[in-house]
Amino acid sequence: MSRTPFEKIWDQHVVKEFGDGRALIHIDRHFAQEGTSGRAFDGLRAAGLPVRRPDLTVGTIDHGLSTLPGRKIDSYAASTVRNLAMRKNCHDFGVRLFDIDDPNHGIVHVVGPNLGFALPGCTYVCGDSHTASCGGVGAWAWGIGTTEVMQVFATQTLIMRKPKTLRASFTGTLPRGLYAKDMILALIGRYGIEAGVGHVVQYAGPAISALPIEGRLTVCNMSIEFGARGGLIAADDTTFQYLHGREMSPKGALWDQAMADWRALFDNADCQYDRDLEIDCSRISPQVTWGTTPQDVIAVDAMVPDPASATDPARRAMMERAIDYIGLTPGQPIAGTPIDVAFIGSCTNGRLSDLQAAAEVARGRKVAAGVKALVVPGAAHVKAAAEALGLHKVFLEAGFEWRESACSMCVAAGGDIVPPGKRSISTSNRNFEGRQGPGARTHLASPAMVAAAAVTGCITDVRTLLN
Amino acid sequence: MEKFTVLTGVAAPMLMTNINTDLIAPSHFPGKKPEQAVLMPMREKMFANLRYFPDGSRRPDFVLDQPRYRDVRVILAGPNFGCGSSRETAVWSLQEAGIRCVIAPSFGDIFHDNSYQNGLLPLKLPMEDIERIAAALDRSNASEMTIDLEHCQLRVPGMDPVAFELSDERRLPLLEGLDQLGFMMRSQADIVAFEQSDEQARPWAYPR
Ligand code: SF4
Repeated sequence: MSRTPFEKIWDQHVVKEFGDGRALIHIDRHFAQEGTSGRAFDGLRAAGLPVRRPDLTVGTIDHGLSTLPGRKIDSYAASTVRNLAMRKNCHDFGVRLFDIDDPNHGIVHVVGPNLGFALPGCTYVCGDSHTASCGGVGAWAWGIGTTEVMQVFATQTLIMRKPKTLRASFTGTLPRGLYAKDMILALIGRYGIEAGVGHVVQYAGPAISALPIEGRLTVCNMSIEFGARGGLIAADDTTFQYLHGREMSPKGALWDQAMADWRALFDNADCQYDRDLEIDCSRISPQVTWGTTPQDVIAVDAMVPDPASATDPARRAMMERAIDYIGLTPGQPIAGTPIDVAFIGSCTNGRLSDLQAAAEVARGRKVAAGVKALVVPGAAHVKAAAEALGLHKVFLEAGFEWRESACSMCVAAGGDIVPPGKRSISTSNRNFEGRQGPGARTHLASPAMVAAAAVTGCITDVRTLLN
Repeated sequence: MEKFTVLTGVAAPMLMTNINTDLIAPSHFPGKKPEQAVLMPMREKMFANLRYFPDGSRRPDFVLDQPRYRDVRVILAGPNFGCGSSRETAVWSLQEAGIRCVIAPSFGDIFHDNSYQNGLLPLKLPMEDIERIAAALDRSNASEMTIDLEHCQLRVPGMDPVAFELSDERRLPLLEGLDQLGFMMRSQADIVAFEQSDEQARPWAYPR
């Protein structure tokens, strides 16, 4: 029995073992973002330490930015101090910063793979829980806290406890009108938000292999919503084609050696995982959440569940609280629920293919009266590519707002906030109480589903709008 | 890092499942503008969406605002405490509010690690035990319990002591107040040696 790809990656990065499964793990890539690195830079300064490997470290400013056209670094007052500190910190410590006018600017997890900064078989960290996105190109990527950000700055290592392995196999073929977002929501809905705790998930199976890289990034993005310490997908020809020639990808002979190493790493015909789960993609419908965790998810043609049906009292209490917060009635069809806000963007679904899927629905239609609909590309390169295809015109003609890239309404940042009691449908990853603003009600769904809700004014099965 | 040896203090029950880090340390404050909220102390923003209505008025029933729990040092929680965002402000908020220990059946991985980095003890105990402790504290006068990390024991009025398990590699740094970076810095030579041989083996992983 051979080792799993994750176990091989672990072994390749052990600097030193401490016993009990703990090891000092070398970090290949570190992407710093302004929200969680300020205190880490301050700590370095206080201790008189440099960033040990500025060549393996880059930074961006993505959370606290206005997304209004013509925005500046200080357009959103609440974040100005932090944003300017990031500029100064990166300058002082010699870290390459993708500043807000840089063509490589954007949400950290959208930028990393696009640059070829995230590579298969690499350890990749960022002070942000959705770092696992980069598992979509075969990196072991995970989110860390600010103290750990400082440790990586100072030592290029982290003390890790070896996670267990879990394989989530997606069988069957994804039907039309369904996307990577539906796959990961279906998995979390079926097994729960705690199922991945302590594990690195490997997403496998024919429906995963069939996904283009952007879809793989979406699946891996929500690994943290499954509780996992990272999620990865075997690098294959799709991955190599995607990474070849990117700015920070290896070049020439190094590229050839990298590809050979990556093929060997992910040649995993007969390995054993600590846990195996399965989802049959041919049997799922478009997914939409009804509650306040990503596991509170149902098919768009289903009914809002009744908490009384839960046998576990703790689960029942959670469901009652969620129903009360979200303002729905048990037993009502979720489709037809009126919405106030539609948000397309975030590190989960702010890539070109996401905007294309949404535009396919929006084309020739109009945003329903009274609905505020936003499209926020996940990065400058996404915005440029979308504009080259004319997608911005499709959205603008339909009545969507077309914005600059940043985290935006995913986390009620930069001034993009859902007012109290208003109902939002969002392509982001968290429907937590207060996440999109105090009292905001969030339904998570795919970009096509969000576009469908925007043009009909209510939660709608997108399959009825596709021809 | 402040040492954690024996702690006696008020424990408050928040037995909800999935108290995520957005709930613990929200990025907004109900009823306040973002630029006002950003200047507030973390302990005041802690649990703001559980503590206040969206318009900024207080919810009268929020547990930590009851007089009995004013000096809270310990939180008794349900499963998956600290899931979600990696924000370390979740740990710092709790600490600013005087809380040094959260007892729950399970924790989000990142919060769990962040806690140890800061000397906040995330103690895992079965839910039945947590419910028994909460019930005993409810019957007691002061809601005070003792967490004895030296002897791995919890003492609660009206109950037999409850033993817990914690590996030495987790326990000793807390007892001594040891900062992990100091420990890691002692491995500098190993890191240099690793990078030299790794760059030979995987030259493509090192940008030039
Ligand atoms: S888009 Fe949302 S989830 Fe992604 S990094 Fe930004 S705030 Fe976090």
